[in-house]
Amino acid sequence: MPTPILVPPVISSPQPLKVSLWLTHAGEEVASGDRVVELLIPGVTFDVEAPCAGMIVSCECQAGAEVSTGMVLGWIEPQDSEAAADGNTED
Amino acid sequence: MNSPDADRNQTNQRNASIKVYMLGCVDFDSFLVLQEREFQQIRQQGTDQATLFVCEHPPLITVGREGSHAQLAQSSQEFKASQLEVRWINRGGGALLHAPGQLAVYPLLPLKQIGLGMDDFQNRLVQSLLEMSAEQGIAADQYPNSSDIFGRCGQFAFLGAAIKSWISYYGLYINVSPDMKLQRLIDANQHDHRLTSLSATLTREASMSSVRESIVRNLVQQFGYQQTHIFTRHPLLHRVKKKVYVHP
Repeated sequence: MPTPILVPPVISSPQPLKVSLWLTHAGEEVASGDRVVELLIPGVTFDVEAPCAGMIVSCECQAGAEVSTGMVLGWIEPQDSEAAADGNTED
Repeated sequence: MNSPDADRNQTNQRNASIKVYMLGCVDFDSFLVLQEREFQQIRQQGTDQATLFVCEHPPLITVGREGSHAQLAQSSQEFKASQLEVRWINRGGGALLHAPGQLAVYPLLPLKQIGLGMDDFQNRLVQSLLEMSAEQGIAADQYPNSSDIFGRCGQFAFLGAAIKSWISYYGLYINVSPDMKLQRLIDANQHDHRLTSLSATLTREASMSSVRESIVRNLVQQFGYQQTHIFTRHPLLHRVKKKVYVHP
């Protein structure tokens, strides 16, 4: 089941928050906490981290797109090993 | 994320310390090493302790995420021939020419620990710049929907910060009294403000030490730090002399 990469609650004011660029691409493996996409307000960038290890399956918002807190930026297919580990824990 | 009022209360009540390094002229590569080292320390500590680097850089152009080739008055090859390196880096803001006379201020702050969001961080940087300007006798303002700080003669302060793992790095730049011939190598910014300096705006030589003291004090106040430890050198930095030839 893919895990969403969400826009974190980084701003409280109504100023526009944009996707600056993707630091990865669909099909690439990432570790949990890897920087995957960069957000931008005037003068400041913010790196969004991968919520889990796995493979990027899609990048929903392209560079320049305006986004808001909670929006889905992309999806990660969690690694098999993580799922296996979860399964073992349940046993 | 907390409301701005809650943030203000939280930052006002904190009793954490901030290390301030006043470093003079530091080459950009050395600074990047220091910054990364300090960043990792802050991340590992997980406390609200912060670090502020204040320095100048030898001539160099950096281009942030809001910059473009259109801002550069020459091609990369021409800059290279002038021994002026152009680097594209992961900070906000556009193209900037760093040179002695321009104050570079880099606050490394654990934003999660101090309860600040991206916009709170941006606002406090801007407020610090505006208050510093007022103390220098300059009426400055922020261009709407941007982070540009300008006075009557043009833009003299620039934001170019970044946040990763909720820790800020890079920061802001103030043209105190740099060689303005060099600054002309960067095209006017997106709002058609002339690039200028505090000295040009004041029509007299602005004091680097006064600007440095003012911006550090205002930043420390804005982010609510109570204890400031000031260092005038860093143990990892060695003093070297390097001649740089630039032919604009």
